[in-house]
Amino acid sequence: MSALEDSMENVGMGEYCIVKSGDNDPKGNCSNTDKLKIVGLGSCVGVAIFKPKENIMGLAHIMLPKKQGDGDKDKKAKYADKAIGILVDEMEELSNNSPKKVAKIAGGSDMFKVFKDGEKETVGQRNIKAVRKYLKEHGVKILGEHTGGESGRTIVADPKTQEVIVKSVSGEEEIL
Amino acid sequence: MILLVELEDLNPLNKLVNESVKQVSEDLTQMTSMETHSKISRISQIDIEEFGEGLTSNQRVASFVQISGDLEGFLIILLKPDSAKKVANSMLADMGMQGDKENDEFNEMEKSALMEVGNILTSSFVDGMANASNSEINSSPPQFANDMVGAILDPALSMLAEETETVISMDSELETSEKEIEYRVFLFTNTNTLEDFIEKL
Repeated sequence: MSALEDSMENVGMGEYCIVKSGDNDPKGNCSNTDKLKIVGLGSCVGVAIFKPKENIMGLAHIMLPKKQGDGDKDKKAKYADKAIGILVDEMEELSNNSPKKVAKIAGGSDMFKVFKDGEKETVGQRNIKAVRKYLKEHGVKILGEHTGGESGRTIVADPKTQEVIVKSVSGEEEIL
Repeated sequence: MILLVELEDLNPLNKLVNESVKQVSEDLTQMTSMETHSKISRISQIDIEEFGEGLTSNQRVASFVQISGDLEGFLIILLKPDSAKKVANSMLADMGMQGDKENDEFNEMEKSALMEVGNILTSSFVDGMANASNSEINSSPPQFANDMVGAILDPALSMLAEETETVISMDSELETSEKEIEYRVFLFTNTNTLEDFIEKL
């Protein structure tokens, strides 16, 4: 990882962040409004939602598909259903000039073949399905996707260019 | 941090982990022909999502084992790629075989040797804990990965997060006498099963 990326703010597991380029008041679990990264995604999925005309970006580090049972201890972006709802709602609160939102997603790999009791899919596969489902339910079109496989990913998301750079451990890069 | 298990209750577990790690070092010494000793062991209760600083993009070679029964969780051994090469080649040399020292990638023989390290190490660790507590603990066959630390650890933490808010992290470091090779061993266990397990100690 470059020195520039080292200094970027990381969105940790179960966290989210919403930034508007040029505005110094980010929402969620971050303090700056520039590019953000998620380091070492395995089965987790990084979801970046953009409002392209307004340079607004929401980035969530999702661990699991959907909350089972009650309780309010969870971080807001731990589950795909809750995280995507929060990103969409809070991005609207920040500006409702243009309703159009698009998403780019990465992660959900099968690092290891481990399954929860009673499940036929890995947690990575379940995460990808859930993210696609809840984005669709909120009317957010997926413009770029780098998901599945058996390798980890680090992503860097830019609110200005709406690019998501996906990096592998071998240094390969792909721009979504 | 939510403490579901009082910290003093972890003392017998800490003792047990130290004994298991000692056994692991002896087995590693025998298996790799390199004197290996335990450097440090930490046992802590962590909020799963607070584990962020441990999830880096550093490259590591891993042997990953799921444990089930009276104690549920994951045992993950991490090695730097160059250390993993040395361990694999040392084991292969003992069997009269040669690995691929020139290539950074791991061939099937080297992967197999490293998974055997995972197998032996897991058996030492898990059997030690099961015997001391008169419990039944099963372990899955080890799986290999050569990737980012974050990507290696997050499936285990995510799966545990489906059941519990916090996990017990047993984090041990072992090294060879010349500090040429360092092993990092993580045991993440489900706090719910751990309470019953501790009572048996």
